[in-house]
Amino acid sequence: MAAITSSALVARIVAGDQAAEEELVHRYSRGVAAVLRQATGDRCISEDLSQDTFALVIEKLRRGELRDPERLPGFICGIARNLALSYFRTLRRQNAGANALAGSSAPPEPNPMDQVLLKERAEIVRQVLAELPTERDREILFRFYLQEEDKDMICNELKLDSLHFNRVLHRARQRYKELYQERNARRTTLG
Amino acid sequence: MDHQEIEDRQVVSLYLTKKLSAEEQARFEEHLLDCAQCLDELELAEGFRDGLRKVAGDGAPGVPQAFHGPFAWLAQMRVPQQSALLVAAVVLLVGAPVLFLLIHSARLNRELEAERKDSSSWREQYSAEKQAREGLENQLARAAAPQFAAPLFSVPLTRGGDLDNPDAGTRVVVPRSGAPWIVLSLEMPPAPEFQSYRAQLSDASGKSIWSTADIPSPAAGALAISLRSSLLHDGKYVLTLDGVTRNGRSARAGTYLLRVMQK
Repeated sequence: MAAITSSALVARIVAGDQAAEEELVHRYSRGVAAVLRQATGDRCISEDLSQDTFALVIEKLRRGELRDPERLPGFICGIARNLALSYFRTLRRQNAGANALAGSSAPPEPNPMDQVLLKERAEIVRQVLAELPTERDREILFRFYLQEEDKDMICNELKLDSLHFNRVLHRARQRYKELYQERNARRTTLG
Repeated sequence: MDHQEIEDRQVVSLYLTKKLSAEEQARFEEHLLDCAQCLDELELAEGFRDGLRKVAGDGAPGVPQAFHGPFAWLAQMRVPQQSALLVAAVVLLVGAPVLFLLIHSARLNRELEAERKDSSSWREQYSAEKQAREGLENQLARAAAPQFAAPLFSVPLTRGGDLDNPDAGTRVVVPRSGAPWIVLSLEMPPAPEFQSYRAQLSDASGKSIWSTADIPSPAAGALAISLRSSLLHDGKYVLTLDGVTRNGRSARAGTYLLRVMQK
């Protein structure tokens, strides 16, 4: 199906076109999953909520609740975030475990497939870290990504400028991307 | 939000580490849903972060010193969590002694209050006892003070011949008002055989108007008898004194004539 505009997609969903609903899910599932991962900090929960998000989006579109179809992505994001909030409210009421809270520094134990992926990522990261020229550059990455410190605070404390900071992050991510794609390519070749 | 801004500001990394404002986050997410490039970038950044977290957790080589050792878990915490932990630690360090002092102070205040009440009770008791003592002292003072002041008349023995003499007798002046008593000091002849005396007062007609017994024998040569002034009116009276021996026998010891005048 050729790419269609948001307005056309919404109009077809309102008309009851099931193919349009499938197109909606296909187009936005990655984005919704990313938004929900950020909101919940948990892949499994985000996958469950992702399905709920699309069900609710389609229901609301059919009822004509989206006045400006060009705002479709924002409409979907809003529903996804609200579902994540409702989920945690329910969880708090049910007095669930601490791992259900967003932003927890200790995510739940991943499934076997995710564990393999995680191990692979860790290996790539070790290589990236080993290639960094200084201990300070490694510290920048840890403090920024794990401790979520402000860039300005890190620069002040480590006595480095913004340019150097950006460069370290960019190079680390680029190198990670290269190594990651190499691995994927090797896997594809072997597969 | 366009790609130039996203790249210049490293928005993907800021989004991942929750450094965007609510408005910026909403704008970026709206862009993200329709942008495969940014989704790829975000997923790579997530992978990198997750890998970094695992490396730090494993304590692998290349991990900065702060992320090693028994406190690596602390270094891996996000700054807000570290701040919260620090605040909790400070509250505990400061709060625990303060709480202890407050509890201790409250206990001391209670003890002090109890002591005050106890002390107040003792003061009340002391005050009551002091009042009682002062009352007794006053009573003692009143008891020690003379009970009354009375006219004293020395009355000699009347000889036998005087009994028939109309002018004989000791003149006793009884005030109409004022002293309720008069005292008669009777001359006593030596009579060692008498252990005690009986006295009787009779008027001119011989009628007894007063008597008493068991008067102990006086050491000196006089016996004091106190009489109510109201008993005596103008006229003559005879007071007889009988002595009583050890074996109960009595004998006349003396007779005294009185001429009473009320004034």
